Amino acid sequence: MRSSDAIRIVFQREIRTRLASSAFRIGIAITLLVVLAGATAIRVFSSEDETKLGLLGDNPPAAVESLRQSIELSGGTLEITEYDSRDDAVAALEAGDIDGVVVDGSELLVEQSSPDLLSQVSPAWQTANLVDGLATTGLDDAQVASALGHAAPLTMTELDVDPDRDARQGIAAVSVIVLFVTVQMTGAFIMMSVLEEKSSKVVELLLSSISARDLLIGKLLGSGLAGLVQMAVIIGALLVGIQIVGSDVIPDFSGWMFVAAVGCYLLGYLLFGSIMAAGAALVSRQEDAQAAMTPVTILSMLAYFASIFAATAPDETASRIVTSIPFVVPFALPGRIAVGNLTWWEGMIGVGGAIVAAGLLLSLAARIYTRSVLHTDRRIGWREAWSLGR
Amino acid sequence: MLQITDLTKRFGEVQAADGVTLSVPKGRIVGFVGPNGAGKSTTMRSIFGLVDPDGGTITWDGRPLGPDDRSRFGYMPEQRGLYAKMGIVEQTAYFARLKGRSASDATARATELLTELGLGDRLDDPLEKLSHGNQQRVQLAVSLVHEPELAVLDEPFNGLDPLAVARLEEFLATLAANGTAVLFSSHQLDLVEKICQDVVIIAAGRVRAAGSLDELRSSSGRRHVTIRVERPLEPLSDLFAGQRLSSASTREVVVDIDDESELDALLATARSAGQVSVFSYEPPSLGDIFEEVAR
Repeated sequence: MRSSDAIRIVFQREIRTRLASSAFRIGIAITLLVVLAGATAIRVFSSEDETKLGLLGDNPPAAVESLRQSIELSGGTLEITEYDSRDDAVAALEAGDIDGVVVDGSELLVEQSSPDLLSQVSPAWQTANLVDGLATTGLDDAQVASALGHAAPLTMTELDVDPDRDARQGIAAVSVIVLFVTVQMTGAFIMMSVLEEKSSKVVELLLSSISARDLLIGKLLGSGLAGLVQMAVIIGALLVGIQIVGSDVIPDFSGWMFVAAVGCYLLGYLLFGSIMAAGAALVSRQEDAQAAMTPVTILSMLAYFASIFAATAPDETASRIVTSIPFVVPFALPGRIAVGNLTWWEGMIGVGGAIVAAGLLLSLAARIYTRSVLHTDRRIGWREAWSLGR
Repeated sequence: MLQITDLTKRFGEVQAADGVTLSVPKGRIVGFVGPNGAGKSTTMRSIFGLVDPDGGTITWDGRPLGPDDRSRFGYMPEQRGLYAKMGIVEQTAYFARLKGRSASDATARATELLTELGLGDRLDDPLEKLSHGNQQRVQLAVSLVHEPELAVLDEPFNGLDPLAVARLEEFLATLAANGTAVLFSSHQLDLVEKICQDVVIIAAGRVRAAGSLDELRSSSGRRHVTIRVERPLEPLSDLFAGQRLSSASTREVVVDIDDESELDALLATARSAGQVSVFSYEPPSLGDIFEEVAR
């Protein structure tokens, strides 16, 4: 039997088992639910920028018009309802139909103190009242217009060259979480899968037909592809979620992000998955697995925190340095692309280092796996596994 | 033919195999017997590369073993183990595929063999739903599904009920009749004696005796003579007190002799005590030979 055939057959079983496993399905279902429910909740609860204002008594039309203009300028809408009596207006306020009522051009009636609404509404009336007041002093229209010309609103000049910076950092943080979760779940699966074969002793039968190396490669590929499916589902859910929230920040770099995310997932999976597979080969019982995995768990948590730090403070020198460490690269790199401050040489160093590290770890894992997977009688130390014969 | 020559393997302080030499011709059933820890499993695992021997050679039809040969061999490990949650046909077919069978061929063979073993109505059940005895049958199916030229079965009779033992005996006989070389280990000597043409006796990593059962019997000097006299004038236990006795009572003794020439003298002595009702001369049992060589 050729190596490639053995790998293919193991791969097929692995991916079929993974996709059919309830843990995988439930995991995906929960992820989808959380993302979609979260997005829906954001849409429902986020204050929509609609100001609902009631009018009672005598209000200058110019004030309403000016308020509408200023609200629309900041991207909101204004809805006006006129009331005939104070009782009607109060009832509407209490029912939550409107945010406030302007009474006779001088009073803002609200249910609870709302400085935001006051500062939003007040200038329009002040201006309208000012115009009226100027007219009563005997100035003609031209003079009033001239005087008001000096009261032009401030123009805004942005220092931040990238208006999407916050959104980009948010996407960076989300990409870290998605990659971390996917790599961890897939790593945990390969660990369980190795352990299952070892604790049930079926590995003895497997290795009477094929080599340990082929078995390991087939298993890594199968679990890896299943993890890719999982990540694609999560990313798809996130994109749908963004649509639900109605954000217009599906960024123009999302294509690149996707390629980087797939590449980084594979790197991360090879780095962490191969250690976890080797670690699982050291133990024979479920109970021992946790202890054998402790070094990997610590390593991955450190990489996770470093990546989150880099996503929230992307311009710090420390961020730039830690995101070049091989174990951090897989989680942090797409985020740095999202933020947009990754230089090409940083990318080359980071990815190159991670590829070299993944290659080394993979051959290390293959050695530990082949030497320890048949020792089903006890737990083996990492160092002992290196020099073990069979 | 499988030929193992001078196989050695040491695990730390333990010399598990110390120059093991044995052969398994096609169409023969070879019984591999010895006490626990004698080196049976180490030898069998070496055939599949599960143990890297320190020395010695293993050949198949005169050529050193390569990975391709292993796909012609079937193996039933001493420590049983399969996928608990996998359907039994799917599982059996999976192992056939790992031995190089095509997907459709593997499924067809798996279905056929499991049905032959009486599991025809359980084909899609996961292994864990089956009784212990039925799981053993699946284990056997998995090792033989690809129609191997050599079947290596480590303690295949362990944990089987008498009915299952009888069925397995029959199965192995058919296998050998179809030209398969069968090597199986057991510590149930009566079974080995019944099934095998050839026996290899191993103890402490060394082969103590090997050959066909007949050869071993005739090469062993030990013989039993059972003598019975219904109404002896003198208790037989007293009459034969000078002989080596395996058992002795008033009316019956079992005498161990080294040479057939002693038979006439024994019969004469027995006649002096009265009418002889039983005088039987038996070749040694495998148990006797085992006791003799494995000491």
